Amino acid sequence: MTQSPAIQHIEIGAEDAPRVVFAHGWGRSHRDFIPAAEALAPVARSVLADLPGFGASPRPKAAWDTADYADALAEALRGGLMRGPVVWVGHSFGGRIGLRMAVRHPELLSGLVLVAAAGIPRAQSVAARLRGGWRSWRFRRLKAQAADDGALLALEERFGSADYVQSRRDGLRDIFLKTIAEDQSADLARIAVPTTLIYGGRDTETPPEIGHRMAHAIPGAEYVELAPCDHISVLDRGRHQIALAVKEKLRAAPGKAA
Amino acid sequence: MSGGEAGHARGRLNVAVIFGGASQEHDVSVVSAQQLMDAADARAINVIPVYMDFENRLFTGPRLRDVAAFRPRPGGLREVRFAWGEEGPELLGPGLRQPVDCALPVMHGPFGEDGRIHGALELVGVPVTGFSASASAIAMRKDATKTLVQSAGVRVLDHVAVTRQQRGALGAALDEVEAQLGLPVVVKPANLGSSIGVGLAKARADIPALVEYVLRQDDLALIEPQVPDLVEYNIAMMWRDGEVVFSAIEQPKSGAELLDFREKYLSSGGTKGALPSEGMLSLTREINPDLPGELRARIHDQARRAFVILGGRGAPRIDFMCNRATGELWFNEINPIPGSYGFFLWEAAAAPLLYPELIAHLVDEAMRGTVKRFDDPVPQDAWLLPR
Repeated sequence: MTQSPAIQHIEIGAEDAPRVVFAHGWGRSHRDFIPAAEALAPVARSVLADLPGFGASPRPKAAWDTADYADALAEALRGGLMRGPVVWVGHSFGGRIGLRMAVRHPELLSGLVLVAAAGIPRAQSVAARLRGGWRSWRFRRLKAQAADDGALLALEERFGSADYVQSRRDGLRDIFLKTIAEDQSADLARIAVPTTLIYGGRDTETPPEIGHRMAHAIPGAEYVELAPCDHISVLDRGRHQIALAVKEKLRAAPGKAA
Repeated sequence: MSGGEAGHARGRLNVAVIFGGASQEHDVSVVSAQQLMDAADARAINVIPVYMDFENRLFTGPRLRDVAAFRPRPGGLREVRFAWGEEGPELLGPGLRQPVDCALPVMHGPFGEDGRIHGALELVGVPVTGFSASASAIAMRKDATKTLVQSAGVRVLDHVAVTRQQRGALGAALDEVEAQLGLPVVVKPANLGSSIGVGLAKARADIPALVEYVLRQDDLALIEPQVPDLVEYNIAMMWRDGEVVFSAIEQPKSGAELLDFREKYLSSGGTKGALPSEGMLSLTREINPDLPGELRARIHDQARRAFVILGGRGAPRIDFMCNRATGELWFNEINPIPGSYGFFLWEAAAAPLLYPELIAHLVDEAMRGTVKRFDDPVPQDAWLLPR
């Protein structure tokens, strides 16, 4: 890992309360978790970070993977960002980093709350895989023929996901391509902190089946499904459930009283 | 929050959340209920949304969880009724027999908060959260609640009540107002919520028009002296572990401050068809205002007395009026089902509760205290008929 840029963040909650770190999803910012942190304010001291490359935090010089992100956050925690151990709450991309934290720096975590977290590949039918392969081949072929940047961008918007398109605008394409391909399946069984996974029943980005499989693979993990929510509304409509999962983790942590 | 039909199979409680209703506050009820259904602990509670339309018919269906589908209600719903089946309470409809463990009305105003829905559920035997039917009915009438709480040592403002029958001959009532209350006075409905106007009369001649306006919508008007230098304090409470526990105190912003909020709100582009955010709404009130310890203790004492005599169940909110200069405090009204169920007041309580924990308390209390009985209620010495 190369040198870590400054991590911009805000803090919410009683100063002497047990600690929580909220990590947002791709292309988003610390603002996503303000309502949940405010609900927890009397019982938790929360850090809401802008992950490097997002919000007000500058991007890292190198093309980081999620292990680099986890190491940078661990370094920041040890450096005094927050007295540990903390409950880590991660949405989507922030969940990928949470999984890495739990494996690489378990001593810093007292609990893990994964909200619509990514981290393992989606289960796809043979037909869907073939369709994806065909689309990807066409995209590559047309890209090679693109006359200029405008044509290239138009192709990206036609074939790529919203996050893929946005990653070019944000100057984060290298990190996007590196992290999106990661598969943390093999690490899940090594996660020893109490874990709750919360997924929206209507999520098409990280559908419930991903949550089911991760919950099955993480020892003792708890799975919660919020039927009417999608990948983003799970943050707002699900905020009370997120806060509840965090409060339970704080209560259960040794030497803590929430 | 999971929409699985068979809650029992996963050990969850089936909780019918009832909302809507033929009330001025129908829309507020729909929004309050959406918040509550999203907040109910999905691991412990299977939410069954039940909508009451303007004709007091009940409907269920998954689209009731989609606030964008309401016009003012979504299509594709099934009409249902509560019944007592072989396994206990259930919702019955065409092709539907859904077991129900508990009903949780999130309704404001008449046909919901006034005890009618509670009465219907109590007759069937469905455990229901909050005040009983009779306590809800009393809480709806501001004049009745004032008399009751006064008997328990709670301070209230004097009032003169005017019924629809007295409309034609207000002279005696106006004399009474002048003799007992003085001017200026406030005229307000005795039964309806704050969504219909409260009017200020500075002179005797202003009163009849205000009374007429109130009596067009309610069958009882209350006339009270205006509290000078008015500041309001609201607080919610519940029974827990054998004692009354309190939420944070809320101080709604005054008219001028509120006007300022509206200006800011509208100048920022308004709602664009969406609902105002909680962040925006929080600007309309101050939670945990800095109060002298003595005043805080007095609010707690008066709130405890009123809660115990009025119903002692659920998590109602009591609204007080206070003269900022003298510190005098008066009970104003009780809301058995406050807007948003007052969850933001509980989050900031001395012993904080998250919304899912508040809902769990309401359901737990209802399940323990159902009025359904299966034995012969007639004592043997009162038998007139053979058994």
